[in-house]
Amino acid sequence: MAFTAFTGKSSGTTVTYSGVTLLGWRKITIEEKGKPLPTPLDITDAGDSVYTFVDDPLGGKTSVSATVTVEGFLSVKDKADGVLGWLQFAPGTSASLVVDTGGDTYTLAAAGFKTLNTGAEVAGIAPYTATFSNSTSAGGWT
Amino acid sequence: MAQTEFTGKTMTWTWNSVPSTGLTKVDITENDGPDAEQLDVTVYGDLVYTFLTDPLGAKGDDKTTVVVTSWASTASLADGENTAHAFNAPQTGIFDSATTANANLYTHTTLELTNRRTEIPFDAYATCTLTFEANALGVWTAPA
Repeated sequence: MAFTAFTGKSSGTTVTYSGVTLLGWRKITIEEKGKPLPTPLDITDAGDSVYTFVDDPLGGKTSVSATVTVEGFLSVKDKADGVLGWLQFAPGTSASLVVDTGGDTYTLAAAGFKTLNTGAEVAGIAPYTATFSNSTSAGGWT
Repeated sequence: MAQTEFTGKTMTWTWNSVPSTGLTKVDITENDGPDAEQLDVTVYGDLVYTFLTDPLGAKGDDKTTVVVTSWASTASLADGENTAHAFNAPQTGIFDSATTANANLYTHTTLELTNRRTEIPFDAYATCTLTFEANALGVWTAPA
């Protein structure tokens, strides 16, 4: 079980959304969040000489969540070429997002396509940043 | 104990008995609770403002945040390293530099994972950043 550092390039990492392989990625950031810590509740009574707190016995509010950010380059003809797939989807879409590193695989079911930001093209290539999120699941590694 | 120069090369981080390999940085932030508030007890007719330190003391807890950064492996989950931690399950985290005699040892028994960030660049090492938090401080010791 030796440690092996890897790059997305050398491991052949792929990212797919709703079964469509998204090409041109340069960086994938997977941010999984647990619940926040329980809020300390002030249970100080009148007459107490010091403040007294207890952790919220119900636990942390809200739920686990995840955000995946994909940065890369688009071809200005990708829709016509039918190879990239980004523009098949409009923000608001919900589908399964899979990041396969060639070893560990991360899956975020019901990943909402939240934002797609593209810049001006240079020489037929435009940078993009796309974000996906799920507010009730952190996804899972297999 | 004299200060002994060290590098992170010899340090180790384990959580719930699971070691993180490929460490590049361990950042332990220990925050004392806030200071007692200054209460304004100025009343009508006073010539100057008068403040009183809250007689009940300070509100709020001590807090600890540990951020562990490592280079990830594509097989880290299969290897039982880095990515295998569950969220919101307080366990013992230990920072050690065991190859150095009498090295400081940090132990926190109720650290819970609250954030896991995996960055996969196309042409550089992938990075895994784990954030652990607790509403209490851990303990530094110097075992022989």
